[in-house]
Amino acid sequence: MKKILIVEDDIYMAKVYEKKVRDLGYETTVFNDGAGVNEWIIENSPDLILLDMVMPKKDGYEILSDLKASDKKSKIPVICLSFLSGPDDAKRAIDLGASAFLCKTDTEFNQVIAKINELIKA
Amino acid sequence: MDEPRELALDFLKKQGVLNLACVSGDKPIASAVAYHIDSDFNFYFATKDDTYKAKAIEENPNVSVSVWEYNKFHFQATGQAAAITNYEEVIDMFEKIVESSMSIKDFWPPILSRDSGEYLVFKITLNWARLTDFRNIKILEKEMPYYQII
Repeated sequence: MKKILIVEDDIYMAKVYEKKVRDLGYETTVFNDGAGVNEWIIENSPDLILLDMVMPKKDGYEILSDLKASDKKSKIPVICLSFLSGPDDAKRAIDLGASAFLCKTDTEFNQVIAKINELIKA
Repeated sequence: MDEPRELALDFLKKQGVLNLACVSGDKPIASAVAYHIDSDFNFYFATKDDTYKAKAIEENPNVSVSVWEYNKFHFQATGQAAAITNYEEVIDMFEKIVESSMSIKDFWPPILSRDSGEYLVFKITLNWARLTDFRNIKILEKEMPYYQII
């Protein structure tokens, strides 16, 4: 079963992501802040990461930057989900190696699902 | 025909979002919240501790709720809301609220209160409730199809 890592500090949002992604048939692991996320990725090699950008302890940009600096894990696709909606916010994430940057206020969850399926099958 | 209580409970379990009215001082406010309902007609919903409704309920626990579906039912009730403090119950109800909200097609949680503190789970204990059955009502019918639930 494919593994998806969900990193989201809003516990309600995280639970919704988790249930929706499990309904798609994926295995999930959830972190509610950024602490320990990169270490977990190195040990567990998820097939895809859903990453919130604004979080306590370690934000999404730091997680993404550390991930993409890793030789072994840099190819794991990352979908950034954020309230941040400025063009610079998305560009920064894409420049760091994110596969997609979706603004939560402009995105329906079926678009997230479509992106997950597209990237996992790629 | 099903008993009114069963009818109401069946309807409410198939919904997932209620309109919640509360009041702070002389200012009323209504909100839409995802809910879970138990078999005793207690409603549960989650909100952050810094939201207007959480603060209003702390000041005045009296609330009113309604759940409506076009040409089917309208459930109206009053009661008192209080934040649950038992940790295990909070976790259990939070899961159930999320589960209920998932039954709504394309549900996407509200995301406008990003910096509004920590989540609280509230229980609404009803003291009055009625169900209106609109399934067969005719416009000139003299008796409204109300069922007293509580």
